Amino acid sequence: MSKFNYPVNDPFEARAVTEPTFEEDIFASNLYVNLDTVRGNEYLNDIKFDLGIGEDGSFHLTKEYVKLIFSGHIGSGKTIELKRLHQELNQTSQYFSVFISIEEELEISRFEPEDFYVLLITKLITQLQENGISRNTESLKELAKMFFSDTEVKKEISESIKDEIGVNIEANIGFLNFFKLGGSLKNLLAGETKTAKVVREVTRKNLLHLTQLLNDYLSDIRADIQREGLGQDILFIIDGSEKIMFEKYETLFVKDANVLIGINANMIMSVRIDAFYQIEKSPVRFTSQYVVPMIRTTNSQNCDSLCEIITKRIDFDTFFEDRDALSRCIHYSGGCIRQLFRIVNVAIRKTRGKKKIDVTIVEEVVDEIGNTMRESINKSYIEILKKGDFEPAEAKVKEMLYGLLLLKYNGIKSIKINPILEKYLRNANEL
Amino acid sequence: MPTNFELEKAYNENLLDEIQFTLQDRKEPTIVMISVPDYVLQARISSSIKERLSQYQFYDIDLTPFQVISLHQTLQEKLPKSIIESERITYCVNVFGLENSRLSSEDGQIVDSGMIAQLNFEREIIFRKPNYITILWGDHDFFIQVQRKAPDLWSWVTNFFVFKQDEIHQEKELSPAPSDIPAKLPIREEYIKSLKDKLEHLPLNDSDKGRAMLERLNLYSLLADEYAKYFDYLNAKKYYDNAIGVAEKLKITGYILNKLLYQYATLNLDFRRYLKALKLYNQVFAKDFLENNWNNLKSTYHQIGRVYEEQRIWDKALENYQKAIHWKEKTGQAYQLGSTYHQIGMVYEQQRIWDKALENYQKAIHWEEKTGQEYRLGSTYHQIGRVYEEQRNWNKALESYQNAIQWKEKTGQQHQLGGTYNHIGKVYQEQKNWYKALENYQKAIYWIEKTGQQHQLGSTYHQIGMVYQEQRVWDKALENYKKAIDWNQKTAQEHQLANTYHQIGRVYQLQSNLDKALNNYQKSIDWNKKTGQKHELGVTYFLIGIIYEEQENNIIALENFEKALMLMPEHFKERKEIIKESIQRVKSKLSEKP
Repeated sequence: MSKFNYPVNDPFEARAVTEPTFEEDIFASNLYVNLDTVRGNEYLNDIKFDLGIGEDGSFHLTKEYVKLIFSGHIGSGKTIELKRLHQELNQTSQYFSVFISIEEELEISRFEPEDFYVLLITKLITQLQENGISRNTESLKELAKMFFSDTEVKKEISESIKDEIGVNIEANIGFLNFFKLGGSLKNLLAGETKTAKVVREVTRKNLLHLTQLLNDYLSDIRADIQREGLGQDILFIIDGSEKIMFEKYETLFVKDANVLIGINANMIMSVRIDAFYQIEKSPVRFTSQYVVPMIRTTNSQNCDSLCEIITKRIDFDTFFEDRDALSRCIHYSGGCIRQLFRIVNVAIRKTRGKKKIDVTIVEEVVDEIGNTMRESINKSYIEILKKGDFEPAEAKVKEMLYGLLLLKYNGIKSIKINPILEKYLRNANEL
Repeated sequence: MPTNFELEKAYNENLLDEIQFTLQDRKEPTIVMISVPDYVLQARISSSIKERLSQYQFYDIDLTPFQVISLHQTLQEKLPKSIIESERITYCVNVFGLENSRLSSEDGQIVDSGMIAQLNFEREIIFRKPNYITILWGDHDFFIQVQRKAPDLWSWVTNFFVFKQDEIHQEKELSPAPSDIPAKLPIREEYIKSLKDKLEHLPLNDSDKGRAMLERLNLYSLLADEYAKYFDYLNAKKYYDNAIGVAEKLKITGYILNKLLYQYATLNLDFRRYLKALKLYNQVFAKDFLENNWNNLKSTYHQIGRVYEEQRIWDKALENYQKAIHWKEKTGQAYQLGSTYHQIGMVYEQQRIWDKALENYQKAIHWEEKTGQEYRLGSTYHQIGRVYEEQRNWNKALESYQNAIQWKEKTGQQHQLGGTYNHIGKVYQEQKNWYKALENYQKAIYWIEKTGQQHQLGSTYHQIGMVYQEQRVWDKALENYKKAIDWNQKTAQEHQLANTYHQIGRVYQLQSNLDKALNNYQKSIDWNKKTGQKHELGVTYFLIGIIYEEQENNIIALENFEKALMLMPEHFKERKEIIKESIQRVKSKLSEKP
């Protein structure tokens, strides 16, 4: 059920639905705006092609197991696009798709590269169980033996599960009940637990063997999935990996990338926009790499779509003086959806339903945000901005891409200064 | 034309309206970030927010003393359970001092602690998981660093408010520092005020964060010391926590940190927080040991001895005093021997081993004279007076007290005069010379007030109450006991409350108002238990027993006599005999009954 009746016309509700932390099933609430036409859906079609899906929706098993890198700015809508892909592809005739949000499943700050593999296995098993498949294969038993033989680990896991399932299963710990941990998995891997220590040590020491066993399990389970009509192949969609600590992330995607590539399952993984260029240069090649571009706000069709994102959520007549005000918000968003929400949210805060958002208010909001953006960089960054020719591999350019001071659009030479910062710098005669 | 400050005031007022809108009627948690130029404005804005958002309960937490690595984890550990588990969304948590964890020290260099980068990984958990609203306060530069180093987190921040200085602050000269003697005097109040003013107006946006933190550390430690000398435990504690926290973050070890820990320990000793005091002295001890600061060991042993003495753990007290003497002799610091012999004397005095007490006081006098520590003589003569007073040797007691007064006056230790006049009053009171007793108590009050030793007032009013009680002037007795309780509560001398409640009970008992007597005896017992003075309980249980015996409730009387016998210290042999007789008497009454 939707949280509100959209579009909302109460200022407090408008405040809530324009906050970046607002959680809603935007597909079920009809808040989703399809941006394929404005953003260009080539990259989505390409992803599907890489995954063996023809233009007519026909499915072909990929010859190799593909690993796709999916990148984009903070707030560019990566999560939504990945969720959409998951929804579209997760069907009998195509994939048994497992969506993993690392940020929700694990405590990002304590994440270790080894946790990634445990997460893959537990999430896969969870989803299989939910769909009635709970085969304890030999490879799974072997994996369980590797991880859960230690008495202290058994005890810890048993204690964590006991509260949830009400029985003590200390004697029989395996992946099939390890998955029952749910939220406790987060706690077990986040704390200084024996489980976390053992899981990481075992993984680190036996990475190759672990991959072999996992691949064996995937092969067994793939047949079950096909038999039960859950899909033709397995696909992992991993969101939020861009938020893990850089060095951990480097281990996973650059140093040990061959291990990841060696897993016999198709995968789509999100990565940080600044690291994207590093992965691009890595000797280990991923199948393909995609960037969710910012939406160009220079044509009216694009602006209409961005406008729709806002007006589906908040009532235009209640909150905006005229179309110019909203257009101004869209212009300054630079095509970054989260930045658009931010501008509108601050404007709502400034008007509080007592008056409507007009162009003057939007300019005031933009000046305020621009001031803070400017304060985050020093002269050396300004010099780069002045040149206007942005080399994505350059450290400061990467940093500014990550910090949304520079925005990446479709095409070559397509990195632009964030319009909010640009306005501020021009007014201050710094550009 | 409005002045700049008027414009800034209006601007700040607008921001407050925006914050009110942002936080009102929240169903989900959020984080609000507020940048302020100094602590004065921070206090003003935070109190305005509280007024405007009365629908929430507010909780302030200052993270300055802690090295925060993970904000989420720190809040989980430091916030009360009632907030962590509160109903969504009933609390607003003001988080102050987070910016102090921004820097740490590595190989003597002040460097970024990595705390801000960590915030980036905690976005989900700190924004969405708490049951409360989080308001993060800090200086502007801190938030700019958050924007730079935690872009994922920052991309969720829509509620960032930058307040501007809206009042002229003219830098004042620091008030003159008062003397080192602990005293609650206006001159110290002024000095504290000027230190606080300086701290609150320290510009938070100073570009050199390392230096700014050092300056803040210095002010925290000065304020802590001054509050300690002002007998304000809570404020002193707060600033010691802050100072030690900052020093540890900057890895300032050696003398500065040890001095802070030592002073903090002494504060806890003076306010009878023995466990904490002992823990801190042990930390000092360990640090001195590791850093080969042998010269400091003797002072720490001496203080640890005091902690045990105050808890009446005599053997451990003596053991530590002996170690202090050993190290003082070994390190050639004989000038400090007098103070340790003085304390050893006190240990024996409290055990009523008079000859040993006097012997050690004499040793103290010897060393005090020999090493030019005459300013300590007054205090030692005072203790000798107390030994004679306990022995009811009134002339010798008075003679020693007079000696004490002369030395105290001569060496500028007037702040100790009140205590000695108080005891002279007691001697006259024991001799039933009410006039002279009251005259000396008044002198005591005069000196106590004049020298800012208000924590001693309760004790003197208690004595005055006793004079009136003995004269059976009940209303005046009760009036003075009431004053004693007020002062003891006001000056954190809770350990003296039990004694006064006991006497109030006695007054009511003597007036045959037995219910009120029992009620006050019970309060006395409660306070003695609460302040760990079990050795004082015996007398009160005995008197309760007497009341029940009078009421012919012999079973309860017997219970109380037995408790009294068990709790009466061994050296009160005569009292123990009397209690035993009472027990026999009640037992025989019980056996006579059919």
